Amino acid sequence: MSATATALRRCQPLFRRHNATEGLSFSGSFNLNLSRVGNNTMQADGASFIIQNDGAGVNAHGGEGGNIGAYYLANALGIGFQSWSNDAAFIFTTDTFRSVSEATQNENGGNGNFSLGANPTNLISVAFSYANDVFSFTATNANTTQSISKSLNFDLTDLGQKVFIGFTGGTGGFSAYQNISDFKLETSYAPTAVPGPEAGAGLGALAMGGMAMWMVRRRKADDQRA
Amino acid sequence: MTRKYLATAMMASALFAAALPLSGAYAADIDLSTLQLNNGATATANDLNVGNGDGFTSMSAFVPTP
Repeated sequence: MSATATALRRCQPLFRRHNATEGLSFSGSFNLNLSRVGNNTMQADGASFIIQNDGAGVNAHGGEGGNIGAYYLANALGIGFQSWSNDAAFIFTTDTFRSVSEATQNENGGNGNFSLGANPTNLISVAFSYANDVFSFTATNANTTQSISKSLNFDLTDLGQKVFIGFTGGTGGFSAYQNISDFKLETSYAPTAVPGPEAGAGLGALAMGGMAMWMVRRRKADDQRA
Repeated sequence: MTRKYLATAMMASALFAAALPLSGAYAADIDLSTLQLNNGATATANDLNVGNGDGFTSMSAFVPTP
């Protein structure tokens, strides 16, 4: 392989990083407002913040009701908030959504870990982060003052080479108003995926090589004119 | 003359290499109306609705990772 081809190959991670999972870290926050409808005694069924690489891409959506629009999405990692009588806040993946949600609903003697369904309104502030293969969040409900934090060891590249970030919501026999606001997101890439000393040197050499070739050509042109 | 060109080349290389690591970070308040809205989800710049009071719905909204 030529020196130029080697240098270009080493540069490739830089130019295919947009929307990529390799080396990706992110953090951010949003507000989730869950409110019951009219004179209903309960609200249902909840919403999620989700990172996914489903085959449908940005058009993906999951199941209704307690699936909160998230379950059935392939290659997903997310934070679920189930209202109704489930009252659960948890981190899920595609493979664990059902088991983790059920386990969370059964906490506290079957009352769940995060009161939502019977409250007229829930204004929940959520902060999340993913770094060093750990996904975590903290959620605080301003209406109940309840706060909860969860984390999960997870390699984001298990979702595939790219991901889409967003939100889902689901309703069933009972419904709700479910709104997201003040969504802040920061993403960055690990230094290992940024051209390091070796790759940087390759880029420098590439640039210097180009300049050197230009100088040689210019010198030859000068010699021919002399 | 050659030394002048060499110095220019080295300076250009150094600037090029130094600028590269700066391209990997992104931070913003996301305009929610820029997300792809699915199955009845609606949005304004700072309000995404994934539950509109109707029953038996499944809504979503996504954006590629910046």
